[in-house]
Amino acid sequence: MDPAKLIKAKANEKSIVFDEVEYGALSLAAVRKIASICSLSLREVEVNALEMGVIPQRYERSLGTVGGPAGQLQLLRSRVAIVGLGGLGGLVAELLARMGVGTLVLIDGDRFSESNLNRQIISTEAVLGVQKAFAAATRLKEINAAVEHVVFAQFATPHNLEGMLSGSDVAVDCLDNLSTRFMLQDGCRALNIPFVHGAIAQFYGQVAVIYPGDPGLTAIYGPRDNDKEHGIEKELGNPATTPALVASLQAQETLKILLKIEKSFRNRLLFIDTIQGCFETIQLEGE
Amino acid sequence: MIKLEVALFATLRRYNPYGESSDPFTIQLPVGSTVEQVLNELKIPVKESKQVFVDNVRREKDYVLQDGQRVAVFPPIAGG
Repeated sequence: MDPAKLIKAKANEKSIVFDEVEYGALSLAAVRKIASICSLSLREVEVNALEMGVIPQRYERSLGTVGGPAGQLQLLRSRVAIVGLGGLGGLVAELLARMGVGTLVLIDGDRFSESNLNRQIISTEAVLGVQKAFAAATRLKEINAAVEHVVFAQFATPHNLEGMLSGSDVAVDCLDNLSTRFMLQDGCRALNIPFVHGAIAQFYGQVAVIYPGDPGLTAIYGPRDNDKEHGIEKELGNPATTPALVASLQAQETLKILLKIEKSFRNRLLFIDTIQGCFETIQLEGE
Repeated sequence: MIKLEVALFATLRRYNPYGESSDPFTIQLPVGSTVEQVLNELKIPVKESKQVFVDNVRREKDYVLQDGQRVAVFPPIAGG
């Protein structure tokens, strides 16, 4: 069965006005039905619809931010790798799924434990002991089943990381140690893709957007030092709020890269101090 | 002597001699002073001050400072 005909027929039932143009709209039920009849994935139906100027209703309130149907189509065709699915990565995954980023690569070899429950959005009492990557995939399916995911329930190593990142448009650094962060930077440079760095400790957080040619993590942390794995978070811990704040900014920067919204935190480090109530921006330059 | 504007961020603000704040303050040091001398003057332990930015560029301990430069010191944060 031709999906275009079905999309056209279902799109007549509701319309969405954006930027003074009236578009046909598809309900979730219609997307599911067309996918089932035509043996397509939900994502493929949504892509087909947007190509015809028909908008899946679930994205109605995003249109102003993503720049209309073309922006939504761009997001659905994008692939983002989220490296680390703890306090930062869980929320980044959830926010990108809600925005309809088409494919999310979920990378983490850890399992949920009780000490994660205070802040890691994917962790619930029911998933204690479950691998974070699989728990995240289950949660994302509940939020937006059109988003496809690739699960790597393994820790990043110099041998596997490039393969896991390959094909992604952007990577998001949601890791909790410095050596893997530098490894991620190596992988992104080799694949020529940007990554969005985020880190937290207690009341503090930081975000930066790093492209392959940029001074990157060295301009923030100094030269790679295998004896220096952690920052002040090891003594101070992490609450629920700071990861949410930093993860939101990371997700926003990721969307801006995918949508080619030029202004970003590239070559700048945003340092957030929620005690003092200040956002400090540092220009990052090589020495 | 050279005059420097110093700002200490996050947990490092406890080394601010004018009270616990990240607001910038001025210190005076002899000509030719380095980043390390600023840290010593303020009694900031070396392991807490790996990230020193002088006029926004990360500098090592032996960097020689010029009059009027801004020195911002951050603790490393790396949690996720």
